[in-house]
Amino acid sequence: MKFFKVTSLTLVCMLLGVVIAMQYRSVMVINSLSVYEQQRSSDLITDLLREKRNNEQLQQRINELQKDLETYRTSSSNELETIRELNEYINKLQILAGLKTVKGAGVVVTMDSIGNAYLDDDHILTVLNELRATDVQALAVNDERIIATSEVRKAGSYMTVNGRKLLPPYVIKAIADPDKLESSLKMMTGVVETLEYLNIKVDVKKEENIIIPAVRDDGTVLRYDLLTPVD
Amino acid sequence: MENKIKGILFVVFLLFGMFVTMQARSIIMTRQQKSQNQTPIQSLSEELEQVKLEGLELQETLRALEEEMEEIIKGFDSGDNPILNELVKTRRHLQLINGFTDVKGKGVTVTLNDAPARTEAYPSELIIHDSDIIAILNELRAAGAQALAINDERIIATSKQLCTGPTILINKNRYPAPYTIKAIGDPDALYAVLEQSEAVFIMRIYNIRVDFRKEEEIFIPRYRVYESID
Repeated sequence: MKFFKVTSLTLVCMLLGVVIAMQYRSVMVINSLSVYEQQRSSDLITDLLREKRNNEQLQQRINELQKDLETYRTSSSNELETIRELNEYINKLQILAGLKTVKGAGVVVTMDSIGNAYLDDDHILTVLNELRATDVQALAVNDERIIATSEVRKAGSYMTVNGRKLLPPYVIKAIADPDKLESSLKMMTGVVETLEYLNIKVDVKKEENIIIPAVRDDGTVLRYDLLTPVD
Repeated sequence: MENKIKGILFVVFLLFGMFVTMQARSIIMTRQQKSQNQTPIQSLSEELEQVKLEGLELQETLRALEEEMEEIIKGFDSGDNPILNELVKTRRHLQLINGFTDVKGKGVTVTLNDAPARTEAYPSELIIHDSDIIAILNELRAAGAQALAINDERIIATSKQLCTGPTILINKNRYPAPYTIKAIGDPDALYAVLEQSEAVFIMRIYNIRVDFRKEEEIFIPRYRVYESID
């Protein structure tokens, strides 16, 4: 009888131990699972928002093209109308290529090193990339227009942009929605904060009227002699 | 003695019963949580698929419209109005400068691949970052590259290269490693600048695989204009 009691007690205690361990494990699994699922759904939401925005822009471009095509079709007899339309498009292309001085609202970012801090081309490139990420429409460093093939290179105590020497402070001008530009630069652990940590003074100012000059058109910046168009 | 054992047994069974109920409850809760959480994730990914499909359709429509436009413009070219001919020529020239034309020429291609996995290092040191890509583009630009593309996404003045986790966002699309950068320009100058590049040197220290070679003919596709160009 005594033996029976001891064994049953041992068995029950063992079972109790196993159940406790299981309970503990299941709680841990639930916790890690919910963290993972939350992360995944927030990833999905960012993707979704981006794709939706892309589609909106695509739709806009399609509407634009359709309108243009309509004008061309209806004006096939009217050459003046066609010329006007072509001119308008050429004008847009010139702006995009940086061949025209443009103005608009945006931000002016002034960068300079404090004391002996080392201001590198990387730092300027990071700022430019951050600005591009905010759908910027025109960019310039110390009034040198940034085009597709513009470099920013450290050479001694100055930078070269488009093959021209620039001295500090470096003034970056960007045309786009000023509020968006400012918030993307100044977000937590963002570009400005990182650069300030490296002892580089970064001053971001929103402005209503920014003028960005055209690219130097002396044949040294815009070169395309090695490009062969393919149909 | 008998009472003491009974007392202990009572307490143990009480605890046992409590744990069984708790376990059962927690299993039921997990189930509920799962079924609740599953739905938003599933519906989100379904919606994402849907939106992506819509995007592809829109791109198709856009391509058709662009072709139609080119046809019409070509029609003008053969006309006998000198002003129109001149305008069509300017338009074509500007499209070339803007990167709206497919082009080919001599140059170099650079391939970048993440370092082979090593357990002892920090993973973030082994993968390619947006800053690496930016540095290489900058070197190529300095050496006079005239047209640039990453994974066949044409780089224009306002193209962004953004790190989003293990993938990089170029223009509007996400690409995982490896990355192929194509540059049209003087092959010797482009090659030399990469060979002496500090950025390439540092990447190689971290075992990131950087390869570049000169090419006689590189094809770089045009920038796909997605957004309104106003």
